[in-house]
Amino acid sequence: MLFYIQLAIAGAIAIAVGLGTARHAITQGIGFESIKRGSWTSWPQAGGKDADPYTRAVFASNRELPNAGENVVVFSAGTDDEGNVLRAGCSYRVQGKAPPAQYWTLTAYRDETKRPLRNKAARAGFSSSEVLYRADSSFEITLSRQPATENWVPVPGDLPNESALRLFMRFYDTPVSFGRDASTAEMPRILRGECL
Amino acid sequence: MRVLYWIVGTVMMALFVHIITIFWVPTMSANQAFAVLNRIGAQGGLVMLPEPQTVPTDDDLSTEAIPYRDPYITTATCRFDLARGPLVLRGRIASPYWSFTIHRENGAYHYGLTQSAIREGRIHIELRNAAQVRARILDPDAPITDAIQVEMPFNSGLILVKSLSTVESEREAVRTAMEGTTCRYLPTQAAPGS
Repeated sequence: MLFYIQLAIAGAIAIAVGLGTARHAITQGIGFESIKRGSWTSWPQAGGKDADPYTRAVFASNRELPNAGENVVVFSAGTDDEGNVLRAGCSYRVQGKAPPAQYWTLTAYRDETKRPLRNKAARAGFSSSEVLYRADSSFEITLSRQPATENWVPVPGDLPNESALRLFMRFYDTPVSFGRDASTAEMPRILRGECL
Repeated sequence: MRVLYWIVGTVMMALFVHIITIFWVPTMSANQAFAVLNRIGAQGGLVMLPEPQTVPTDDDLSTEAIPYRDPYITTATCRFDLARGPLVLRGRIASPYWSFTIHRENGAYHYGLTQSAIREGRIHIELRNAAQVRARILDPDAPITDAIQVEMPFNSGLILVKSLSTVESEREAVRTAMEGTTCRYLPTQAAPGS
């Protein structure tokens, strides 16, 4: 009798730990082929024939459409450079230079709905053709409730302060060197400003 | 010693549950982006996906919009089943960047090209299965065409066409051009002697 009780307890612990670690791996976007650059993560093999099971699980669970065969490199970030979750109540500066690509877009999403931010300016981000560059080809995009100079993405005032945000940076028509080895890419920094 | 056996056994069981879960999640087809595309796509016809920002409200999670789509990208999809005949996709896309990809029904990528492989943004692609390719080769009356011929190792799947607008003013033209793209079945050619 004692054996079966011990077996039941061990089974319950194993199921809890197994499911918990699997959930953690999927929600945190852990994959053998994920590439981390600062707070940005990319899955270059997503959707391809050789994608690892973790990458497949991550993309299946959140219904994302992979970009296999499109000569596109996609990075996403759910935290700033210090590891804090991006929140609607804080302001952020995305600062730096973009890796080489013919075109790029940067879009801010509400993480709960997985949709672009909806604001009165109808602006959830910038493309490489829209952004204002500085003399050294760098740019700074500000994500905040308060108006900002240069490139400003307004965070809707009706979003709760704790609402999680996610940034996506997509590079279209990338040079072969960047597309095949995104691990060398220098991605812009995500710096947190004031929080409400 | 007996406790150690229990610990090792529990860890092994947890590992088993973990691995099974990771492999099981992608098979939950109802949650996959391509399952959504298969539901909303038209058989042998091009369907435009709604613009991400035109989805009714942020709080309406019932819509089948695919998450984290790029608002700068216009997307269309076409489902196909080559058992109904060869498929032709034809159009002209005025965009600085576009891509054309073919996937199996489960989303596995098979073939793709981007604007750099095509002249002047003109897409003209014909998909055939092995029997249809053979029938075309053996048909002396088969028309000569400038279409890219793609032999498919499977019959059913879907095509994704994506087109980039880098500024707002380009978006309408890109969308109009994509709406003018056709995806349809060709009349079946019977293989001589078959």
